[in-house]
Amino acid sequence: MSRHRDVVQLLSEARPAQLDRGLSIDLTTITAFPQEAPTRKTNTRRLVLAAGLVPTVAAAAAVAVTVAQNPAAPTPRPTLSQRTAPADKPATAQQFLLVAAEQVAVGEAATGRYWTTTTEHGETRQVGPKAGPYDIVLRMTAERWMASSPKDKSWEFYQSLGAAPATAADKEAWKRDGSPAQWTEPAPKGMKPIVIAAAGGPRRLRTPGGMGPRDYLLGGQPISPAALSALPDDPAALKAYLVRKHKDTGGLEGRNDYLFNSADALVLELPVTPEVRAAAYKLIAGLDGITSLGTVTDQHGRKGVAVAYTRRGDAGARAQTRLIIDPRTGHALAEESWHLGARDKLMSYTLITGAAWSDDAPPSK
Amino acid sequence: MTEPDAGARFTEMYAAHHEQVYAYAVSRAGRQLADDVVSETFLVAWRRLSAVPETPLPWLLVTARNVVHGRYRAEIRQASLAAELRAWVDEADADVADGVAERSAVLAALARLSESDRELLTLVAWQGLSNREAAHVVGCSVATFFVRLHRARKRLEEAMGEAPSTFDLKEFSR
Repeated sequence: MSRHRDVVQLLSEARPAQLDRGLSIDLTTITAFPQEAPTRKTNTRRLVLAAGLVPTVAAAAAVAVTVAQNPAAPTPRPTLSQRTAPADKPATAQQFLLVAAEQVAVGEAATGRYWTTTTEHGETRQVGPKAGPYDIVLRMTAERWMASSPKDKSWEFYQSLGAAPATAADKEAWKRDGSPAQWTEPAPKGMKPIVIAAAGGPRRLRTPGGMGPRDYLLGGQPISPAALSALPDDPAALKAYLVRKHKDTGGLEGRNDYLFNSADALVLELPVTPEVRAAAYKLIAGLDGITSLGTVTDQHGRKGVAVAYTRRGDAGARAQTRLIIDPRTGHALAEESWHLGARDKLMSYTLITGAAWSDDAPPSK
Repeated sequence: MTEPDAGARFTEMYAAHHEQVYAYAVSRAGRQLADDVVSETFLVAWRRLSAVPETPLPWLLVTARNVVHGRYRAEIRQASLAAELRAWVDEADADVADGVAERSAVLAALARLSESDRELLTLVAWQGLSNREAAHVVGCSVATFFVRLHRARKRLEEAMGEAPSTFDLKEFSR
């Protein structure tokens, strides 16, 4: 036993200095946010839920998405691309990606005061009684105004769209469960359980007072807007850059996974030039494990071609990321995470419903 | 809605605990993400201030834990953490003080453990939490916590005993 104590003692003495560092948060940016009334439980819970959800989204970091589709702020589609619209579907994922790269690269390199995006995110959760569990999908939308200049604040709005049974079978199970209008998720001991409401919530501003300059995330590492705009637009150079970054991470994530995730973020979420996006498509086309699933519809019913990247997860489970691309424009429409098994299951998705540069002032709420 | 003394209570809580929350965030998600985790944690704390117990640290760490798990894709968090763990070992290696070889070895061994083992050990060794508080943070009973901690200690010892050949970062995520 004493040996055990020693090793923890040793660990305690080896406490890295990196854990200690003064942190400068302006508390008024927090306390300006309204507090939840303790009595209105539904609200409080919804907030917690939202707090849990937004993040998944923000996973790609502070973030933005790329496709130009915002009806409110229309961005001209590359007309030239229409020419190459593949009425005849390319046979393989590689061929399709190369065509997509060709199409996307003809767009003009725009810039503006804000990179604005609107996205919808969904996540599947299992709920219900142990005897008859079923899946529900939680949905939310996010609208982001990411400032180009460090002098401007960035803004993020989000809104819960509520939750509903995932499939017809899940709906039956939900009815057997008594058609609840909310679900409770177990929380750590001593914590109030989190309640997921079927009803949506109001639109909310995420960070009161706006957010200061923020880096984007590429392959899990922060990257400044300036560094993003300086990315090489040659596929081989882009790959070499990402391979170097991958080494910096210590190679925890497999190299292929890292390259796919990074390139995926470039085509889907990050404000880069069409040329860089095209290079990212070509990079993906050159990766092992890429397959085409042909024409699919995204969660909004929009048609696109799905390119799938499959990797083996824990305990031999297979996880698949599907990148859905509009074959007419080469723009990414959505990303979906699937768990492959006896029955494939959609675990989460992100839909790009709009993305454009804007010089307008962000909405106040 | 806001209690008159809420601001004061919150500020005091922040002053007393933000360093610990930051340390926890670094040990779970790396410095690259730690600031975000801390901001998010205290934002939740502010908004739910009435739910924060008298002794707020375990509650804050539970919240930070939820933020860490909920906010980032596993790959992103693990990549950030990998960079962090490597930096610790590198710096310990670069240190010229006495006993550094052991410090570096224990940190390298820690990096080879599973995420859950690492969490238990660092909560006890670095956060100064009692076993009871640490059990609360990871969401298990005190009895279960003891069992898990015992195993984690054993695995840390084993990892230290292994030839610290190459510091294989691929191994520590799972």
